Amino acid sequence: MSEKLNALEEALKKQNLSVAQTITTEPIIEEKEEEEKQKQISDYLFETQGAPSQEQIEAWKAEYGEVFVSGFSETELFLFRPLSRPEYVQIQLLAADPKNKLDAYRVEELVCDTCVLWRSVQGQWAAGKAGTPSTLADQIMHNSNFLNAAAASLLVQKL
Amino acid sequence: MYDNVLDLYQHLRTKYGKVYITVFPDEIVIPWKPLNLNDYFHYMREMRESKIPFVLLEDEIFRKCVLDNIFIREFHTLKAGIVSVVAQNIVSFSGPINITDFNTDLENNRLLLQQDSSITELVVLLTMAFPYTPEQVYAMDYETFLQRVAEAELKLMYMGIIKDPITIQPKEEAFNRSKKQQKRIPRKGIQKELEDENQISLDAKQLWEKQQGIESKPSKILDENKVFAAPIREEDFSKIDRSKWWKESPALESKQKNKIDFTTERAMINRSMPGGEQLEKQVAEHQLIQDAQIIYKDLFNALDKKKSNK
Repeated sequence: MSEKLNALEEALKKQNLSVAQTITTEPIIEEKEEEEKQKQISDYLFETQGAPSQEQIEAWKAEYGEVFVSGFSETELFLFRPLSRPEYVQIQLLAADPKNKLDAYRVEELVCDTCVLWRSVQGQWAAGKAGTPSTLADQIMHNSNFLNAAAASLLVQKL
Repeated sequence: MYDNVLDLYQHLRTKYGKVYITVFPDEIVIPWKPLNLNDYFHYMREMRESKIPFVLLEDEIFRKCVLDNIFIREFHTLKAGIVSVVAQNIVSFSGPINITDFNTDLENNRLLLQQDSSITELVVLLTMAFPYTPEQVYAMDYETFLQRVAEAELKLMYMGIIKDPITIQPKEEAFNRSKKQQKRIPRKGIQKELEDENQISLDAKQLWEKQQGIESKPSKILDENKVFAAPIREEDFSKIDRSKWWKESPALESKQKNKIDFTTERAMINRSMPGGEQLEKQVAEHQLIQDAQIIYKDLFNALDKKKSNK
């Protein structure tokens, strides 16, 4: 009986070890995938004419904290940073002033103008596709930690 | 800085007490406290009036309620959404958003109160006896609290607000007591049973009557189990004579008993009838009596014998 128990214990230990190994290997796999993605993006940026260098991107990261890239297609790439609070307040105050006559679309373009660091397609927003500034503004706001009410309430905990 | 999130929470709890935190996905943890009611209604009014831009109100609420000074010092470096989300959370946890939420919050607090009902009752008792606020009572240590409860009990008994010393029953005993009351209890001795139970009686009506000098009558206490209980007969059936099945006829009462006089009614009926009908009625009555004497001859003989034996 004790021999059977010992055998069972050893089998369980092996099983737990294999489970632990899978747990430890999972984040390693995710990191590798992330690195591959970044490498692909940096390679593509490197290939794109006029794209910022890696040193420039690192400098932006040091200045703004985070730098994001968004690609609508192979030819439409945008590098942007999060919107800071003073910038957001300024844009909102400009929009609230009736003298400025700013509508929601113009506000979206303002957000994009403020936060986009580099884009592959130059020119006015009006010359490009209709949804680009709207979608890009949404991405900028999302990465600036703007959330809806339901998602925001889930972040709260009471100590 | 911290090995895990729990260490961070422990540090925040130690530093700030029981506060709220907003945890962002990028591991930014912001501790804050809710607005007091005065500030809450002030900001709600300002938001409704829309005189001041909403973003400025958000900044104000953030600076007022966030406890960690680092976030206030480095306010300009924060992401725009952090301030908006935290301000939104502060407002949502500082007061009700609508009537439904308010009712839900109130019901939750009622349930919480029921769990600590005995302590809550004692706190209320203390505030009745002495000019303490509930916050002051909850700030007491246990020894002081018990001492004050005993003093409050004495004071309220002298004032006649309570009759008996306070006894708090555990929930199981209260449940068993309520179960016991559901059993059928005979009607006799109801009042005594209820008086035996130790209860804190704070009857405002009795207090008013006493103050007015009116003698208060004991109110009837109706228990539906007792009201619908089967009545208990006081007669002893074993002593009843069941040998005779008929009752004594009222027509054959003794001379000592008063007879019922129908002469007036008879005269009225006779006056209402014409002459021929009266005669027919007399004949019919005579015939009825004669027939009855034949039919009930045995009965009449038995009754006569009984009369003669008496």
